[in-house]
Amino acid sequence: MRFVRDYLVPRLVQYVLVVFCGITAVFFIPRLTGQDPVLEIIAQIQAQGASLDPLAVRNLMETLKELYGLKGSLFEQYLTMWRRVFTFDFGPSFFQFPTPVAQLLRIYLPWTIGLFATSTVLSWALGNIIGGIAGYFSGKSWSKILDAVIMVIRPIPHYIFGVVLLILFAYVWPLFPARGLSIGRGMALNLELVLAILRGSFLPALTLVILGGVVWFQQMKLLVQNVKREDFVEYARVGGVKERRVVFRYVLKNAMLPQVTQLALALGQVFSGVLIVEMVFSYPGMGLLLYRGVTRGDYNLVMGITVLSILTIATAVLLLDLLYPLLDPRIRHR
Amino acid sequence: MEALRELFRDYRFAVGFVIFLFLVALAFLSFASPYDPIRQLQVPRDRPPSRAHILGTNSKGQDVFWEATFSIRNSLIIALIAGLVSRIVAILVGFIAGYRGGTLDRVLMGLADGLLVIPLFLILVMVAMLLRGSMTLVNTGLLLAFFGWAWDARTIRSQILSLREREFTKTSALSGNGTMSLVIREYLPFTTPLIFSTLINNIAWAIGMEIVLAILGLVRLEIPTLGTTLQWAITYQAMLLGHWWWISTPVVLTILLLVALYWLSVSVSEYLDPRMRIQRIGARS
Amino acid sequence: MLPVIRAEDLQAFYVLETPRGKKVVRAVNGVSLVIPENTVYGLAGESGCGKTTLLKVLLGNLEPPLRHFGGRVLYRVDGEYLDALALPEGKRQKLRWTYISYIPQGSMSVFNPVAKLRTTFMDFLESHVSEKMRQELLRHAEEHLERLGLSPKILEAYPHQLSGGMRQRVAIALATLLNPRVILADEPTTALDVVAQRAVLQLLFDIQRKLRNTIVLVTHDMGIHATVTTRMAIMYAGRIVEEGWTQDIFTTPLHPYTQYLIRSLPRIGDKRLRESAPGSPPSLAQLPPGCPFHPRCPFAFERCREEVPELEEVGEQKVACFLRRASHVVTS
Repeated sequence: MRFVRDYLVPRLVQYVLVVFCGITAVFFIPRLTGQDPVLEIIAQIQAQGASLDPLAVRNLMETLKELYGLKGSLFEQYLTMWRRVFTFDFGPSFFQFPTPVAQLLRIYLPWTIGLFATSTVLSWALGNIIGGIAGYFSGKSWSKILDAVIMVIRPIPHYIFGVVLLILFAYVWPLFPARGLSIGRGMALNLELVLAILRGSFLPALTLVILGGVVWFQQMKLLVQNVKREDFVEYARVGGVKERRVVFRYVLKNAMLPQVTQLALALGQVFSGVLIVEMVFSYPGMGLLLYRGVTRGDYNLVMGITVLSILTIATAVLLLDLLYPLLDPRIRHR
Repeated sequence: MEALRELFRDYRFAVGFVIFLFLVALAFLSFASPYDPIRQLQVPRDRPPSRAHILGTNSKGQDVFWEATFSIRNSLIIALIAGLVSRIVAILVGFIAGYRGGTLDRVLMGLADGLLVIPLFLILVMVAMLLRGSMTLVNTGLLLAFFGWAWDARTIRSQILSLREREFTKTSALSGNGTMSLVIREYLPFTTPLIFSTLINNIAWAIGMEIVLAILGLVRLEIPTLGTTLQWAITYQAMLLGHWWWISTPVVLTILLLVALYWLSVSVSEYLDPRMRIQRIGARS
Repeated sequence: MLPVIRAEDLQAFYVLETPRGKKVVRAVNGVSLVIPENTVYGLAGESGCGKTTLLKVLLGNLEPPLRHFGGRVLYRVDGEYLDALALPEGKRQKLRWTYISYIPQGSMSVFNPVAKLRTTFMDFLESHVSEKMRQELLRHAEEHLERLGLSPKILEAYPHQLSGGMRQRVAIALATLLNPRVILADEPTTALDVVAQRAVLQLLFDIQRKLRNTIVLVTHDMGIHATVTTRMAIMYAGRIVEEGWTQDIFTTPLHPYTQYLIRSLPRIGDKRLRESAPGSPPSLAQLPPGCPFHPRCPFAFERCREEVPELEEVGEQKVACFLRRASHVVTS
């Protein structure tokens, strides 16, 4: 019971606060620019050559203001926004008018979550394990070679790395589809579909796992080199505990703990990376939706994506926070 | 300088330095360009690399090589503005929060933390969408600066916190030095390596972010940068049409630039850090 | 009494690479010891004199930057003397815990924080004993814990759930599990309150009596030596400067350093100002020439500055000092 009070409740409060502040930021920061998205749209329409008489323009502005939640005072707008968030009503998408943004999100979100979850878990696990073993055997040559290779991969940004893999494996050696997956309606759940999904997700997943993995590798390697020198590890070695046991149960298991915390802190950036990679491979997730929304000036859609992303990341962080005590007995017991 | 000679012994610094210098040289070369960076149809289109055009020409009728020199120059300008401005903010916030502590510290750090958990990238995109028209080089740099200070402010603050506890702070405070002059004079030498490495990391981040913004069409697409040239290559289906020289150039240049910056940052911060540690140990024994 | 461990002119140094060149820390600088069986043997000295390193060498636990530069460590196993440092690591590991075990300094962090104590015990037994025997030994461990005044349920706990004193006692239980002939205990009572200290010392004493093995008790606390040990050695700057029966050392300390150590002990009724030796021990990386103690020694003369005194017998004691020739003995 004390656990619930001391650990669980603060985390939940934190979750609510973060989501609240995040969405408030989404509300305020764009307004700081002093730009009016409605005027933007009108300007775009007029730039494309359509001429509208003043009455039509005014009506259009009213409608748009309503749809964008820009009616009324700042406070009223703020409340309107919250009302909409709770009803999951982000208004209609502009480029796919009148499809509501929420509907689009519902279709594309699961794909992103799938890619996000899989690639994050894989990159974290692989990066940490390989990094940990490399850290333990830091004198060996394979460890040093790996270090050098990673020194080249680490600084490459998501978009560029994605493009490189795309060129190599979809054009130079056409092993994978260049245009990603296309999701139609009424797809039958058969082997063909599953294979198509795997083929289409492989490159984006690979990009994310490699780029994510190298970061974990470096951090874990450093951590392990320190944990290796801790008293209890030395003692275990002196006492004759088998080396493999020492590596896994004594060194890795302890070094993993701060990495879990680090993962929680990095989730925001990891998620952004997922979106960017989706854009490269035209993977049918929120990244692709974002690309379409931004290039077509669909403000509602972009706002919807942002709000949903905040929710997704905050939830993932919460889940991790709840998972941590299962791994660290020092938190679990007293 | 003896320091430079020692640094050059680290192969990472040497290689990074040479590559970076090479790229900066290319950037300066842009001032000698025979072509206008923005005008299209200046040369025959889609020509593979030849003696007349060492990196070929693109579908817009521009020389890929000379466009590349401009793109490096402009990307670096944006990134430098972003890096330097955000350093100033990060240093101010970090120092004030770390030294003053209390409510001010908590508010500032809460602000920074909030900006971290939120997908900054998306809000950046939203703002950029609204400012679409006025995305000059400088403005892009400033926008990136606005979003780039949070992480480093926190790191600087932790360092200030640990420095604050050290002996010389208490002595200096007792001898009656004013707060700001104390803070700046005493702490800056210790935080400089940290600030320097975060500067380079921030510059690298800005270069990467600029590319994403360009792909999303949120910057002035006629101005050649690493991001915009890549964007045009993709829009014109360079990959599909086999115009590999057009799309590879920004990709390769970006990779070179970022790897060079990363190697410089790692080798310099390693050099500065354990050095200080051992010097301190040496003084004691 | 046959010796159970012999150290012959042991030399082990730490070799460190710094940007300014090589730094050699002579932690064990020519140590010769004869440690008898069935004894509580004390090793005294200030921190930084090399005691912990000496224990590491006795265990055969030499890892860079610690390197073996000379001398031998002999174990008497099954009637034969084995050169511990010349053995292959595998053989040495087999001897650990079965012949010689170790209770490290500050048992705060010697247990894996994310594993139950039971798991740690099993890990240690794994390489020495077969599966079947392990279960039996675990039961034996539980009985062992009971005999030591600890509930066997402790094995189900995590290290952080126990107090410092309890952890120390569990560490002792672990070290004695396989009934080793020699137990090296490095400062087992530091950082414990007086009550816990007593319990730990009592435990060690009981174990020694029951198992009839040797416990090498390393501590800077002379009071503990006076209470528990039968024979002891005094270490200074990497060398043994005095050795003998504890009683003799306390009644007739021969080396000036020993005299200081004993004089600094509090005694009921003695209200005189206690003085410790002036100055501080030398850095093991920059030892003074000649006798390492001479800069602080009130009786130092010319020879002390030039030659290093060897350990020589004076009656039943051994001392490394040129003074004994001048029979300049100061009693308290």
